[in-house]
Amino acid sequence: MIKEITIGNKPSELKRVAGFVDEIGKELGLDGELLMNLNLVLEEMVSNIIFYAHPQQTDDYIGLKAESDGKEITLTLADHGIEFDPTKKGNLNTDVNPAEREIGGMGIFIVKNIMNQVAYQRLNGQNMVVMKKKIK
Amino acid sequence: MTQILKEGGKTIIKTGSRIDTVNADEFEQDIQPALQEAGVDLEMDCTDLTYMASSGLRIIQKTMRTVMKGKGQFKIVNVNPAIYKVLQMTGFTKFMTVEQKP
Repeated sequence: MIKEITIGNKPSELKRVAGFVDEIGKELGLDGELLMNLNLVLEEMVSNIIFYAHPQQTDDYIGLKAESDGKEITLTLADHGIEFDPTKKGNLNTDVNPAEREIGGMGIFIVKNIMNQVAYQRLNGQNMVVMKKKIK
Repeated sequence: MTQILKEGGKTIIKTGSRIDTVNADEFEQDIQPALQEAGVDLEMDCTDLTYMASSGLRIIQKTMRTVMKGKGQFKIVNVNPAIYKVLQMTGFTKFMTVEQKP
């Protein structure tokens, strides 16, 4: 399976991301928990791009690709925003009470926990994030 | 849609089906009335909740702070197993009562 969509960098586009994940789920027969997790992963990554990749609020498009051989799913995200390497972010000390931690900073941590692999490359002025998750 | 209910001495926040990037601000506004009184005995009822993003967790974090300051209590109940795992991985279940759906 290979599926691709291109979305704008606006919060209203997150609905299309959820629709994209639903389609993938149907095609691969994924269970509810996995579907929720993949939705969560893409929402966290895409909303980071929407809110932080373009400090000047420039319009951009974000490419999303999902590929699977039935055993593993690979999600690729590409945007044209400022260089941002998520593999270097998202450390969270879960032994500290959330009430006493800094507010937020959990999105990328969740992504890294859910996915089996997260890789980053800056290529031709684009941020490319490739994430893999075993589905069987 | 979020509802605030009073039951005995308890204040219950009954969530809708999603707390995500798009509606998190609205959810935060909706629950403010439940956080006004010091010493509140607060329960977040997630019976209808099927999806929560990190923007929802941020609000839980802030709510914990507010309730702690007022020396109240705060617990989360009727959480589905997938959302429970997210609360567990981010360290919430270690520091507050989170009950799964029976």
